[in-house]
Amino acid sequence: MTPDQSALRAALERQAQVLVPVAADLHAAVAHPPVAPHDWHGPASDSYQALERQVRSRLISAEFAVAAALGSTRQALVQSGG
Amino acid sequence: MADRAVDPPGVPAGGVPQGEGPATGGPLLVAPAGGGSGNGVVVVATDALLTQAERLARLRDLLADSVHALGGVHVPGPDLLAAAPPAARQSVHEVASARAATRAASTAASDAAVALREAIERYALGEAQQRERMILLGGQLGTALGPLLRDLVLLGLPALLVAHAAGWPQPAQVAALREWMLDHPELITSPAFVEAVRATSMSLDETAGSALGLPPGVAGVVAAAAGFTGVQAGAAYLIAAGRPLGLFREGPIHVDRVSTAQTTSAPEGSLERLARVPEGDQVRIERYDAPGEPPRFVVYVGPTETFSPLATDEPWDLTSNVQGVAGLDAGSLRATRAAMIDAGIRGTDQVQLVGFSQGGLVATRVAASGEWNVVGLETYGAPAGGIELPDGLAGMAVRNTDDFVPALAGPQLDNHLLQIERQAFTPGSSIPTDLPAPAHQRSAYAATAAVIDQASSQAVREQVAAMDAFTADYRERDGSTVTSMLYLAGRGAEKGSGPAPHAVVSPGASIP
Repeated sequence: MTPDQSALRAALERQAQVLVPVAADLHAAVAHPPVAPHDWHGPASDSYQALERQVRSRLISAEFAVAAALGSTRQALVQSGG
Repeated sequence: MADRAVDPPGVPAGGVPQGEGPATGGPLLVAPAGGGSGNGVVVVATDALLTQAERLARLRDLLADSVHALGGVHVPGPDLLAAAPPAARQSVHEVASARAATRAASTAASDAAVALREAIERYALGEAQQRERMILLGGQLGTALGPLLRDLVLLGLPALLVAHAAGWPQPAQVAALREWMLDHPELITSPAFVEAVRATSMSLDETAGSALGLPPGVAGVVAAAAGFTGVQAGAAYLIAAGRPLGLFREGPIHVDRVSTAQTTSAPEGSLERLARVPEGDQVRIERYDAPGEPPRFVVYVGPTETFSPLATDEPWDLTSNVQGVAGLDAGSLRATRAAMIDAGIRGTDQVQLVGFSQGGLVATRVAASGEWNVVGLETYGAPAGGIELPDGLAGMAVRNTDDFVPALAGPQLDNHLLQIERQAFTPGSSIPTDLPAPAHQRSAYAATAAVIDQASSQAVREQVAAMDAFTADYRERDGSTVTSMLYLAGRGAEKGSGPAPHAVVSPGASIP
C-alpha cells in the first residue's frame, strides 16, 4: 500500500467513525418520531402538526443521506484494500 | 404510648374505587415549578403535550449534535481523491449531502419546538386572562350586589328567625334538600362552578365593604392595613362577620399521640402517599432512620372532619379552614406543629409533608413558615393557592378542576411547586351521588394520583421520583427502620385520656 493509499484509508476510517454513531442516532430517532397528542385539537394543533410532518420528512431524509454516506465510505474502504 | 405492629394503610384494591378512575377524568394539566416562559407566563400544558415538547427538545438537541459531528468530518483532500476508488469520491459528495439534510432536519425540529412552546404559552396566557376576567367581574359584582345583600340580610333575618321559631326548616325538609343536592352533583362539579367560587372568594372583601357602605376598594385597603391581602382579606371579613354569632372562634387545642408502630415499607408513588394520609386521626408522622444518618420525617395531614362553622371539639373544622385561609393561627396548624415537635423533629431534620384538603392547607402553611427544614410537599385539593412557598421544594400541588374547595382560597398565585390539575369527571361521565362534593372526595383524588403515577412527562416523573427517593433512600439501607406515629387533636385544654404525650397549644402561643 502506497503512502497515499494509507492516508486515504485513514481518512475514510475517521469519516466512518463519525458517521456510524450519527447514523445510529438518526435511525433510532426515525423509529420513534415526534407524534402530537391525539387529544389536542384546534388551529394551534393543525399548524403544529404541519411542522411535525416536516420534521418527520426531513428526519427520514437525513437518515437516508447519512446512511448513504456511510455506505459509500465503507465501500470505499473495501475498494481501497480493506 | 400504645405500641403496635401494623402495616401502613395500603392502596385500595384495584388502585381506585370502582366507577371512579383515570377513565372517568380528563388529562393531566401540568405547570412545572417556576415554569415561567421568560415573558411572565406560567407554562401550563397537558402531560402528553409536555411529553411531546420534551421529546422534541431532545430530538432538536440530538440533531444539533449530529450537525456538529458531521461538521467535524475531514473528508479526503483532492490529492488523495485523485487516485482513489469511485466510492471514495462519491462518499465525499454524500457526506456533504448528509450535512445539509441533517441541518435541514435540525432546523425543522427547532422550528417545531418553538411553535409547540408558543402554542403552550398561548394556551396558558388565554387561561390566565380568562381567570383574571372572572376575578375582576367577581369584584365588580361584589361591589354592585353588596347593598342588595345588606338589605336582604336586614329584611330577611327577622323572617328567618320567625320561621326558625316556627320550626322551619324541619329535619325532613333539610334531609330532602340534602338528598336533592346529592342527586344533582353536576351543580357543584364543574370547572365553571369552580371559577365562580374562585371569583366569589376573591371578592368577599369588596362585597363586605360594599354592604357596609364603603366606597369600592376601601375594604381591601382596610384589610391590608391589618395585614390581610388577597383572599386572606375575604376570610378575615368572614371571621369578623361570624364573631357576633360565635362562629369561627379559635381557642386552645390539645394533641395526643394515640399510637406508635413499626412499619415495613415506604410509600411508592403518589397514590400510595395519598393513601397514608389519615382520616379520623388527623396527623401521621413517619420517622425514617438509617444507620449513621440523621432521621428523616414524613408528616401526613388529614382532611376536614366537620364543616360546622361553630367550633366544637374537632380542630379539623371549618373554623380552622377559614382561619387558615386568612393566614391566622388555625387550630389544625397548631396541632400539627405540636405533633411534629412531639415526634422529635428538629429544625435541621429533613421533612416531607403530604396533605389532603385542609391537611394540604396545613402542610403548605408549615412548608411556607420557614420554621422547619421542609424538602418536599405534596398536596391534594388544598385551599392554599395564595401561600408563597420557598424555592427548591420537591413535590406537587394537585387539584381537580371540578373541585371547588381549592378555589375557596382564590387563584393559584405561587408557582414554586409543580402544579397539577385534572377534571375528575369529564362531561358525559357518571358523577357519584352517594357523597357530597364528589370531585373533592379522596376517591376522586386517588384517581388523579393514579394518573400522576402513569404520567410520561419529565416534569411530573421527576417530582414523583424525588418524593419516592426521600423515603426509599433510607428504607433500602441495611438496619433502617420506619416508625409511624398517629396523633389525635381536640379543641379545649382538657387532659387527654390516653397515656400518650400530651400538649396544649393556645392561639398565638409559640411552640416550645
